[in-house]
Amino acid sequence: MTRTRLGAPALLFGAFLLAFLAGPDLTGAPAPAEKSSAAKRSARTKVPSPGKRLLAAYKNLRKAKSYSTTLEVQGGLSNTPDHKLFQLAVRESYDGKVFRTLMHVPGMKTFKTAKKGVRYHSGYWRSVLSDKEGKMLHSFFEFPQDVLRQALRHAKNGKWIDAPGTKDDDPEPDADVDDPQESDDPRGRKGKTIVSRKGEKAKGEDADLTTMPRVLLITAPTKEALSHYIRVENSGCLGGG
Amino acid sequence: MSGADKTLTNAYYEIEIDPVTTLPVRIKVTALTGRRGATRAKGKKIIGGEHAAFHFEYKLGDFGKVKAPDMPKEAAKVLAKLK
Repeated sequence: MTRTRLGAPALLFGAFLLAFLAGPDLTGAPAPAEKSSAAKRSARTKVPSPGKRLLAAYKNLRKAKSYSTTLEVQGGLSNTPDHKLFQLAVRESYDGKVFRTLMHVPGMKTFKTAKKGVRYHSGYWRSVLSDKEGKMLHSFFEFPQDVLRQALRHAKNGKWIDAPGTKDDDPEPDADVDDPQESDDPRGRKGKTIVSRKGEKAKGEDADLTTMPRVLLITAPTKEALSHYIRVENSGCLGGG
Repeated sequence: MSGADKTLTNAYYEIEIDPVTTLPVRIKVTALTGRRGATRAKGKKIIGGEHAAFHFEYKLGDFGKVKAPDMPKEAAKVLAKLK
């Protein structure tokens, strides 16, 4: 018993000294290059499904009940692969406030729902479809939650366009990588159980948010694309309506 | 805008979602229609040449902060009558 009591502190001190002299290699911390590739790998595996994320965004928008929105519309002819316009046929911008199922467009003296609307025009409140500007506003300015619902139908065609790995210049997920427990994903380290404390979890979440993709692209089928064209045509902005 | 080829249409949604609030902050809808004999396409995808393009870009904010609009009685009456 006496031997054990004296030996344990000496053994601990010896191990500490050995680890200190040997440098970071014996502490189990990966080399910087290893660290960054592991961080990138973990960021890639954490990329959420575009469909699930879009559904969550749609639900949250519906829960919000009220919000402000602006719409910029530009249409015309293009001859480039990025669809930039060289000849403008229409250029409009609207500013609206959505409150539940009602949208108020103060600049156009208009109140509208998804299906109908009224506009103060020539001294009277009339249907929003009774004049050209009102018709265009009603055709173009859909409720954003309705646009999201349309997009949701094709969410399986969605992909993140700013997810890690889709660009060469991936931002580093976490600049402060001194503490391996903070920078590494615990699931990526085999054979070690890490008990996360409250503060550490919050730091980890912040790191996740910096790597979380923000922009997703959804390709709609031809049938829906045609319905968009018909909507534009019916708005009268092309001169025929 | 004449000569539209309605068999050659593309549409894309570009949606930006705030990672903190999981709310959409920008929605861009691009609708494209080909023109007969002028548009270059790969399969059904418009890749160049002359074509009609419409860009609708929504920006969203002030979530939950907008107050109920003060709607005039006459406006409400007309709106209720509309089908």
